[in-house]
Amino acid sequence: MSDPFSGDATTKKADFVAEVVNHTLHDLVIRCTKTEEVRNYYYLAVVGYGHTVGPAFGGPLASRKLVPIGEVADFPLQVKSSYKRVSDGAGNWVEIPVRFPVWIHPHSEGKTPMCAALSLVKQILESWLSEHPSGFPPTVLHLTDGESSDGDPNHIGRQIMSLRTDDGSVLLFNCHISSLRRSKVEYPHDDSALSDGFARTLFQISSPLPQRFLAAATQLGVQATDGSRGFVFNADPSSIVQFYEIGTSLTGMTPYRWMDNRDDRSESA
Amino acid sequence: MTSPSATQRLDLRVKHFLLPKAGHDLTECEDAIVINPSAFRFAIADGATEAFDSKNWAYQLAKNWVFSTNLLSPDDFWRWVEEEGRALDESWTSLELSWYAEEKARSGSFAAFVGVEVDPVEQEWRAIALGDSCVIHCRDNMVVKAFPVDNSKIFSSSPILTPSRTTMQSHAAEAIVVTNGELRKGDEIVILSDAAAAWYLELAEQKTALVRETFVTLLNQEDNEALAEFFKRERISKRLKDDDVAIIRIEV
Repeated sequence: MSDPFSGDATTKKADFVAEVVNHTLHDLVIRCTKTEEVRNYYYLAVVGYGHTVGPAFGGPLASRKLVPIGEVADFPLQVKSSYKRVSDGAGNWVEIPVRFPVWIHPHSEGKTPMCAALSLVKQILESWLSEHPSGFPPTVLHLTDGESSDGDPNHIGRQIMSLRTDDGSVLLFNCHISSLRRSKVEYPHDDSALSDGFARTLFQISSPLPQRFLAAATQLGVQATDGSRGFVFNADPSSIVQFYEIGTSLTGMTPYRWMDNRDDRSESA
Repeated sequence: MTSPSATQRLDLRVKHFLLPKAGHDLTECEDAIVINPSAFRFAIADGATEAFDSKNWAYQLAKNWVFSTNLLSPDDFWRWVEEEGRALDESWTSLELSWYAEEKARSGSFAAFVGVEVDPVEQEWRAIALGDSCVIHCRDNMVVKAFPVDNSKIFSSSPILTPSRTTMQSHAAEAIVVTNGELRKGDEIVILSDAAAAWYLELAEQKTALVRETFVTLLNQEDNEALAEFFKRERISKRLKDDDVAIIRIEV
């Protein structure tokens, strides 16, 4: 994760992924905000793995495994100030001040203990499922930049996919990012385009995209149809953003197109 | 409200009813009904649940429209919305907002609006709308005109609404629509927010007279408790979507 993306020596993968996760959390909070109140429509867990395996929230939420979104909203690690370009309605652009929160900082060290990380995810899911047996099935968005260093994740991945509520099975979506310039595979129906054994393993532990996720993918211009798995291999930066947008589209609301505003000028508050 | 009888002047009998979503109380209702009886002006506004301060925006639009004059042409209405939006913005300046409320506020507030003015002497009505709150004109139990949505099947989950930040939503000006109609004794004008309008139109389309008559009887009796029970049953039957309900019924 400390390496840059292929073809973009200036952007470290870890920095970019942290930015995407922070924007995703921001978007989820805004979707749940009504006037000044955040409604607890979701519970969120962020797990990081590398040198250690554990909850990745920083600040007041540090070490919390599962957090209602209202608390996520109220306890970011930091709130930064920035400027955002918006249309003035008369064909011009104006810059307006905005504040945006940060919950996680990038870390990149150690190996890739994927099985241990997925075991922790399973434990978090089981705890939530025991309290919400009829809830909307949880979605797991797993992002990795390499092969598992602690064994074959197939077994634990299948265990996660077998968990369920009365409303359906837990969804596990996987996104692999690469430092090498290789052709990416997005939301495949089968593993015929995957030459790599590790890629096939991740494909096998990726859930098919339900209808509402497919609709979000279509809205984003992503090729995904009935039977497509929630899986991307050799993802580039735009694929990572889309992976999170599609994976958090369960409200049926328009995915947050923050990539359109990448010229935001940031400064620390 | 019953206006004094006069030669060639129509008498109006006006009743209204407001009901929040199931499990909510009236203070949480984002629909607003305001009536100016002396000017025969009536408005319903339906604040968008996802937007910032939409309940206040809906009430502000409805109240200030019925106590204004004219505002029945798209140009006049849009200029007025711009002024009202600025006033709403100013009401927020003293608020200390969290980062997420600030983010919501930046997009402004949104509401569906329909305003109706009745002229009992000229025996006509005029209306203006931006959004999917509706006015339905009935004669002999048949729909003469439903405006701006004329079919129960075409209510959308994302209509163009009346924005408080007009500069960011200038396209909404093109969605303002106006209409008018003649009135006769015995006619009925019903003004409704979207869920109730879809329900009322569907009753008319299916010619389900009994349900409609029950509603009119309860409304005329001003029995709000019985009306709330009635709508609870309509929601359970799935004929009515679980949304805030705002209805003004004018019997001519």
